[in-house]
Amino acid sequence: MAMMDLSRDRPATGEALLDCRDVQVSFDGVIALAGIDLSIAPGEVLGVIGPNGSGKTSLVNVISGYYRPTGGGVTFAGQRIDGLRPQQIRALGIARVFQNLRLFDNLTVVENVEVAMAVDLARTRGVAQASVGAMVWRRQRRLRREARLKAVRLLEDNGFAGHLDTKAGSLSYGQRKEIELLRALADPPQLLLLDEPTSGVSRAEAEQVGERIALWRERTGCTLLIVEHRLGWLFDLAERIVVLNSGSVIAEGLPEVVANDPEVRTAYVGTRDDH
Amino acid sequence: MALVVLLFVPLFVGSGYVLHVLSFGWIYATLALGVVISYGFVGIPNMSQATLYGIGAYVAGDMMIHFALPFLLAAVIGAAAAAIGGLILGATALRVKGNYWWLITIAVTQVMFVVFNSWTAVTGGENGLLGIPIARIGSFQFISNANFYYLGLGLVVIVYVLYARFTTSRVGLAARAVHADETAARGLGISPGAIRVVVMGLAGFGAGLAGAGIIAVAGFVDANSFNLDFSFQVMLFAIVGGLTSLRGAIVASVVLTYLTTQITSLVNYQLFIFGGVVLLSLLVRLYLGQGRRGFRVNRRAAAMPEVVDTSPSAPALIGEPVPAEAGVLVDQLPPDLPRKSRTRPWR
Ligand SMILES: Nc1ncnc2c1ncn2[C@@H]1O[C@H](COP(=O)(O)OP(=O)(O)O)[C@@H](O)[C@H]1O
Ligand SMILES: [Mg+2]
Repeated sequence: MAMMDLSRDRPATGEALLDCRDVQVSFDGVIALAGIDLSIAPGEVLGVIGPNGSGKTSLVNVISGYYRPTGGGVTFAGQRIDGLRPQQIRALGIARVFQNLRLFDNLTVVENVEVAMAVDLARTRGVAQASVGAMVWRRQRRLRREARLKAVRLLEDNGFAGHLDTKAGSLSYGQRKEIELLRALADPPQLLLLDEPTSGVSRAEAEQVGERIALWRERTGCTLLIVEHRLGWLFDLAERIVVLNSGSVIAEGLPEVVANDPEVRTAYVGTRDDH
Repeated sequence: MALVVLLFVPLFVGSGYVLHVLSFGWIYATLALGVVISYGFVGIPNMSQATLYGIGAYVAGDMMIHFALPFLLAAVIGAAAAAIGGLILGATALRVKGNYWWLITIAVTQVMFVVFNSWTAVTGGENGLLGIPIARIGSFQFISNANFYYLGLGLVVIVYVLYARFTTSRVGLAARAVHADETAARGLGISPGAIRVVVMGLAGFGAGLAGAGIIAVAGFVDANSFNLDFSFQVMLFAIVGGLTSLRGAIVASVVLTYLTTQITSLVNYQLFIFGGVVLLSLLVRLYLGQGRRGFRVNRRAAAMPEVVDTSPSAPALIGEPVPAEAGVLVDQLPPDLPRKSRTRPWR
């Protein structure tokens, strides 16, 4: 299928924060990504849509290091990152939220965030993540307390003051989704990858998640890649949309242009979400 | 408080034999603590405690026999050697996942049993390590059963304090995160491998100290002290103790050790009785929920109304309703399912 470039406002190359070049992923002959070219400018909000199985999650997995591309490469802030491990990529400033909930259910809400804060503090202080020193030296033990305080503050600021010591697994689905987002933001990322941040939550909760994301972006200038099924919700948030199908980019451009593109509509979007 | 009581036990227990058994109990408890941090916290089913214990015992013993080192120094060297053993074990198995840990740690224990049994120069081979000098600290000699009791108690306290520092540190927190969901933990920047290596090193250190303790208390060891059966026994102690509870592991180890060695006239039935006691204690745990404290917690959890997500599934592409996420089901689990860990798992 011919690719339609509907974008007007941004150059395809240049000072991109993230650059995917001809990224391919296949599993025993099943092609998940068939050569994706995609770049995100610093501060941009990029929406990714496409039917189930079109490769959206695979793309997120490649960028965050969970999948090693079978072809092509990914550059982040001028550095090749394909082949790095997820924890290394996180350390470089790319955070992700999973499509299916991945909180640590038997940890408390505050511990879920605290663990992320502690990793970040250790990194910025230049101390090892796992060492005997972290257990016995007072200076290093203070680091956990610091992480806890920061976690408590973040959670209180976001309306979870009453749930700090609740087991994460006992909260409602929507609440857990929110906490997973907060956990990803604990160590402020440069690029945040959100894989269907509103899946399974009510419309009201989705609005809240959207506000939270918008607010966060305003405050930090964080760059976003959002995979989403709720098109109306996404079109309010994203500045540019990429449409995937069968592992290829089939359209790209401003939300309203993509939404009204007849080919995209007939092939992938059906009728537009009335929202 | 409990510690104060334990300090006075030898004054009231007249039987030297009971004190002797209790000193073994403390040493086994030290080993079970290692299972708590490695299996309970980071999820490595550690069936190599016997091997790490053996390394500590042989190294410390050889230091005393061949180099005439004082006991404390020999113990530290033994513990360091076992810690290195633990680090190596943790590092070589970095790519191991889930149940393969069982295979690896069991295989290591089996192989090392053969090594212990045949490397005569270091271990005394089948004859065992003979001629271990009496352990002494300064001019004080460990000779009476009360001495051994205090030595064992001292070891378990040292290791308990160290491991409690671990469980309350950010490393312990990261270990629990890795155990809960390794994929998500990596996404937060945690290196599961580094955590596992450190934890196995710690387990080795404690096991090595226990090994030094046993040569002081028993005065003799051979490879049979460090076989797979023993690893299994230590694993059971930790499981009976609640697996994530350091104190539980200590209590379970001491009580089970005492009970199983008490029945002297039924030596041949020892394993049978051991099994019976374990079964019994597991039944007690099952019926009373997760130990004393867990009992109350569970009752409260059961009384709480379950949070059920009633939100409609996402209105997404029209004409193509999105199925509710699988995760929603988690909220609908029956309320009586046991929780994976207790409110304060490191207690
Ligand atoms: N780990 C995997 N193993 C095998 N096939 C996979 C794997 N991950 C993704 N795929 C396949 O790649 C295709 C794209 O999947 P995915 O990226 O999850 O799509 P989306 O997120 O857009 O629904 C699907 O056909 C899927 O079956
Ligand atoms: Mg997906």
